[in-house]
Amino acid sequence: MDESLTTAKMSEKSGEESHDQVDPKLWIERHGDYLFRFALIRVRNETIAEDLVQDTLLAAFKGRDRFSGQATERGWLTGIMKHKIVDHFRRLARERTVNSDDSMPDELEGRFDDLGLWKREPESGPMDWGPDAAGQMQRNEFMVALKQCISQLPPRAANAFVMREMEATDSSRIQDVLGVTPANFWVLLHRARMQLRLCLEQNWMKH
Amino acid sequence: MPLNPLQKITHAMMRLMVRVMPSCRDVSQLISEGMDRHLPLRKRLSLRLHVSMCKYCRRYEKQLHYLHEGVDHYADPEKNTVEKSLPPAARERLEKALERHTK
Repeated sequence: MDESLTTAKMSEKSGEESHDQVDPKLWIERHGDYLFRFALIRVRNETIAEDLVQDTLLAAFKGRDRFSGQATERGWLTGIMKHKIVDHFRRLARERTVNSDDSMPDELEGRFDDLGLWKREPESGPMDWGPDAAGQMQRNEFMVALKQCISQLPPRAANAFVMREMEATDSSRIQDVLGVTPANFWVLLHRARMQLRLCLEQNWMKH
Repeated sequence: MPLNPLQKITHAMMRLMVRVMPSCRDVSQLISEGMDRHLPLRKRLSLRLHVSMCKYCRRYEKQLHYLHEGVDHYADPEKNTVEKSLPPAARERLEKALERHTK
C-alpha cells in the first residue's frame, strides 16, 4: 500500500543520489533479523512475520527514491514495516467475525464483590509485587511470562494492546483499524491490561 | 487469611463510600483509560480519592505502569530476549524473493 511510503520521510533531494545508497540485498544482511524480530514480537506468528519482512523490503525497493539520508536506513525500513503491521491487523479484523472478546471473563469479573470492590475473602485484589518489581521487568523471566500472557489474550484484545502499548498508536486509529466503537475499544484495552496483569502475577511474580 | 480489625474497618468504610464514588471495578477501567486519554476533572478527582483510600487500586495503577515499561522494553528487537531470530531458511527465501522482484 502506497500509504506506507508517503508517510516515510521524503527526500528533498533528487532521486538519483539516493539510488546509489540503496542496496536491497544488503538490507537483509543488515536489518533482516531486526525487522523479523520487530514483526514477530508484534504479530506473534513466524510465517506472518516473514511475509511482513518481504512486503516491507519490496515496498522499500519500490519507494527507494523517497529514502532520504536524513533518516537512518533502519529507521526508514522500520517506518514502512509499522504500516505493514497495521495493514495486517486491519485485514485480520475484516476477515474475522466479531466475537465477544471485549466482555470481561468470569476469571476477571469474579474478583469483584457485589459492590464492585476487590473481594477481601479470598483476597482477590492485586498483590504487592515488592519494591524491585520495576527492575525485574527488564529480565528474561519477565519477557518469557509476558510473551506467554500476551498469547493467551483474545486476538483482538492482544492486537489493540500491541498497537496502543508498543506503538502508541492513536486510539481513534486503532478503533478504525479494528472496526470497533470507541466504547468497545476502551473495554478491549482495559480487559487486555487486566488480564495481562493477572496473568503476570500468577505466572511470573510467584517465583 | 482472616482480616485484622483495621482491615475490617477500612473495608466497611469502602463499602459505604462506594455508594457515592466509583467502585474498584470502575476505577480499574478509569486507570486504564487515563493512560490513553485525558479524563474529565470530575473523573480524575474521584479516581484520585478512591486510589488514596484503596491499596489494591494503588497497586493496580502502579502495576499497569510497570507493565507499560516492561512492554516498552519487550517491544524493542534489540532488548527482547525471548523472540527468535530470522531463521536461515527464511533468510534464503527473502533473498530469492528480493532478487526476483528487484531485477
